[in-house]
Amino acid sequence: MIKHYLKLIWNRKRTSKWIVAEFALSFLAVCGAMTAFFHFYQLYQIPLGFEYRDKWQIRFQMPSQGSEAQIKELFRIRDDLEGFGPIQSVSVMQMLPFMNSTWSSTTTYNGKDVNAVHNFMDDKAQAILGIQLLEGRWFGPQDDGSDEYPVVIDSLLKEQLFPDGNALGQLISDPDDSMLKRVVGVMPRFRQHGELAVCRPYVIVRADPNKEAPLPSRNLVLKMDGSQTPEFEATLAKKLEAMAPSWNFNISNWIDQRENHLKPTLIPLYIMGIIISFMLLMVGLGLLGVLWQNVLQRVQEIGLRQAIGASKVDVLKQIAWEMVIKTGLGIAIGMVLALQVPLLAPLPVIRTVWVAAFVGSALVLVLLTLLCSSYPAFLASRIEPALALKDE
Amino acid sequence: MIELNDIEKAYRTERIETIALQSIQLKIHKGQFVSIMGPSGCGKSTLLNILGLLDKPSKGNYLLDGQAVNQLPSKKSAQTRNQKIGFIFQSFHLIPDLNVMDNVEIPLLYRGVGRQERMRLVAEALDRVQLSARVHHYPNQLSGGQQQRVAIARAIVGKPELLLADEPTGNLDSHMGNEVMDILKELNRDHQTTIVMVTHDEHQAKKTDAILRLFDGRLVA
Amino acid sequence: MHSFKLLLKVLARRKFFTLVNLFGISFTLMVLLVGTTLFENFLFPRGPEKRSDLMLVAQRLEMTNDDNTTTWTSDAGYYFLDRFVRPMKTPHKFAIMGNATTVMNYQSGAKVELAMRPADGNIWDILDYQFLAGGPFSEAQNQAAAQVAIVSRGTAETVFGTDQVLGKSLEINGLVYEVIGVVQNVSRLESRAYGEVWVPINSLKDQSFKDKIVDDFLGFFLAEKASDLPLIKDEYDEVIKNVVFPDPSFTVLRGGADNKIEMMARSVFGGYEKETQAGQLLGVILGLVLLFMTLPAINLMNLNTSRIMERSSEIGVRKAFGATTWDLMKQLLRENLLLTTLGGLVGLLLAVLVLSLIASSQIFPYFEWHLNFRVFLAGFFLVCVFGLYSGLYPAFNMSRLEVVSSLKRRAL
Repeated sequence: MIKHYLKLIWNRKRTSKWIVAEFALSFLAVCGAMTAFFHFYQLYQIPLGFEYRDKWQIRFQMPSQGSEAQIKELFRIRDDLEGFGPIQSVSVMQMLPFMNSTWSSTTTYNGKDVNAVHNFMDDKAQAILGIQLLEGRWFGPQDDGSDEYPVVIDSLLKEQLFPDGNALGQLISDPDDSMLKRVVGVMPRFRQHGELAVCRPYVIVRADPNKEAPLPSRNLVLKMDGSQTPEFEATLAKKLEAMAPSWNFNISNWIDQRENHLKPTLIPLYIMGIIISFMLLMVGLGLLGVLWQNVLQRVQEIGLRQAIGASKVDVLKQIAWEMVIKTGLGIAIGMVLALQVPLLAPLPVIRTVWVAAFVGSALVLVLLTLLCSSYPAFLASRIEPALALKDE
Repeated sequence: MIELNDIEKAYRTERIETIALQSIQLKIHKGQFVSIMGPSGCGKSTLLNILGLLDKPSKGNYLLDGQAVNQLPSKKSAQTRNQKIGFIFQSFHLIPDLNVMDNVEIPLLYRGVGRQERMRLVAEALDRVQLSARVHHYPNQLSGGQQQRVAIARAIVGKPELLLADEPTGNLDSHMGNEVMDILKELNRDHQTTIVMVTHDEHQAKKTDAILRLFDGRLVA
Repeated sequence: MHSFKLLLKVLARRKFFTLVNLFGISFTLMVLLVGTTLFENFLFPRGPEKRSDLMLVAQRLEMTNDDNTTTWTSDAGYYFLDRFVRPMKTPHKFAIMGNATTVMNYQSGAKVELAMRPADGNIWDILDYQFLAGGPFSEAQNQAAAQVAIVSRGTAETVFGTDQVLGKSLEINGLVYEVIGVVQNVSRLESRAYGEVWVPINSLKDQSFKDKIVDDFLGFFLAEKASDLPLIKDEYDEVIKNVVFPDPSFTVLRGGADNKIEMMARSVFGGYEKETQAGQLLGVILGLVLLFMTLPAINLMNLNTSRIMERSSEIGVRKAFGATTWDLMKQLLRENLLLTTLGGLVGLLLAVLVLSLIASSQIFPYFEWHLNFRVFLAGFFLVCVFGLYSGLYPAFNMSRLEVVSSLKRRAL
């Protein structure tokens, strides 16, 4: 029977081909949107690695080639702020999350180089950020006085640098051996750029006021007790102006920071989603119109089929099958075209995302087809053969 | 083969009731070739539609092969049409986008016949109407007479016991009309196929076993 | 006129198809109009970046060592711009302005975040900020580190609740600035000029930026005439190659001076060479637009084809009464063009609606859109082309249609 429908479609290719073309294009559009959607959805599912609620940050602007005195000053401000108003505890951090800057550097172990994002945090950061360690420990006073830099690495870097699974206690370095780093702990992925960014290997180095760092820390993270009000910000600003009269600073909270950071990714996604939905609506309505006309033109054929033994269900099936075949052809062509994209330009998208997008868009289009052909098919099944076949 | 008892067909619209058929009593035996004649609008087509299960009578009983068929559910009546009845129409009703072979095999598709068997039956039917050479032609490449012969092949491919023909020669010139009539006669003779034919043509009607005359929805002697 | 009414009647009779077609055409045109308007407003600004066609900006830099093991990518630093770029011969004018940094102000009782731009006194000669009151600060004032500020109208209203703010004190980062000028709000789309407060570079508390090659500053060039632009690029390339680094661990500097489209290409494709992939970017955009237009065109074509099939009996009658194929095609095309025109008008209305929504939604602060009629006409022309195209093909098919028997719609 399906072969019969294929013959009909092939012999009516003059009109069928445009419907197939429309489906191929729709598939491309839907597949593109779905790839983006699934890509970000998959990223969103990975835990952030730290807690962002009830956190405020203070960014100081001071000379980048910071003197030792400046770093000591920052640690002093950290200690002085503790317990001030709703502030529970304070920690020093070099790179703040949800900002557009990254510091990455090559990490070497046993002749293997991996480019990893680096950050500096102090001893209290684990408690403040709620980082759950998988192995080992966080930094503490026992690290004082050592020449090495104690580091906590994330599971991604561990997989890449230590495939045999033993990272604790190992010494990692940079290509020019300027910083020897001792792994003291392993944590889950740390997603500095938020839930929608691709995960990268991560290294957290202990921020130590007594030790030189390639990039000095300039930021504080405040853990609030939940009773903070926006008005407290002005109070805090006044206090900071008194504490560090020569520095510029900036206060913001991580809920806002996160939202602003996700916006540039989310807004285009929303816009794309809206455009694609309208496009599908347009395609669907167009299809409904075309099918409707198609049924009107084929009244005699449908009447005849009923006369020679097709039941109403057979008629319904025929209209639906013809559409599903055309959709399938369109999807197949669209898939061949879409497959060129990862071949020509590799995108930072994992294979399961591609497969999900392919299957998802095919499903959406088949559903759309069935939805749009249901009314014309119903019309077709209501055709009375006695009337349809009447000779004039 | 066919037994109609007191068949009545009325079309109702909101205000008017039109009676198309009235107290039709009819018996057609297996192997008979019967023609139905009468002026336009007398109910010939309605009677043929009822016989072919394309329409249901408002009243009365219809026994086909001893089985009551006048109130069959639509799925059953589709099956019955497919297995027991073949249709031939004045304007052929071939599907223009399918070739001869594909047109003829449609009834077998609805019956779920396998490919090999289908090929054999189609070849046999086309052989009967002497169109074996035109298997791959499309309807618009054939003459009217040839198209009607394809339609006959489609009607007989499933070996039905009853063939219903609605003015099969109406759109053909007399030469082609005679050709079609000869084929119908042959089928009737060789296979004992029961044939009911509606016609306007007295000359063709005379070739059949019996002529039924309809006037204003009633059978007249 | 008579035939116009007739056409309207034809369209009104086929409500469903008319509506689907109108929806497709107007939606497509709306998206194209909104997109091109944003793009046009970005490329050909009407605000301070008015003279974009004579402007180049030195912004992105990549600083690295001989074997590329350590690289630092950022915007230009003040030292680089002031020491090496400022003396360039080919530019007519040159100015330095820092990127916007968010500063806080609590003067109104609530927290107000302001985008502050530190600038030198020459920036006013290149960017055409429209002064509503007062005037700019001069280079002499910048050199003297005068505590003066220019604010936008929006800033004046949110901080002081009035636009009569000349002479008032504005507190930023614990410093007190005297407001000496008020400028018209700047659209976020004019990213290079965007800001809410402008202060002299030398008035900043912390002057440590003065020794940096890469940092957070932009250099603005203004050419005397368009033909000078390539010369500026060449000279900038020379300058960048001959930079003397204060920090000897870096030896190589890369970057280019870009116009707006080049800036966009650089942010999309990356790269720190003199030349950008602006051509490629335009190609990609054009390709996407064409792809985007193809779908509704095919949709329209499908609907037209079935519309013609539906009317085959009418066409049969017309042919029987002596209408030539050309007559029939003309009629169809006229119908199609009318439909496209209507769709275009609806699309225009929708575009206006969506643009006002965007403007009021603060996605781009202070965005004031101008529906460019060049853009509209171009979009409309394209829609007409696809209206014609999607009508021509079915009409051509129709000419091959035989006069078939009328359809039996009674059966439904």
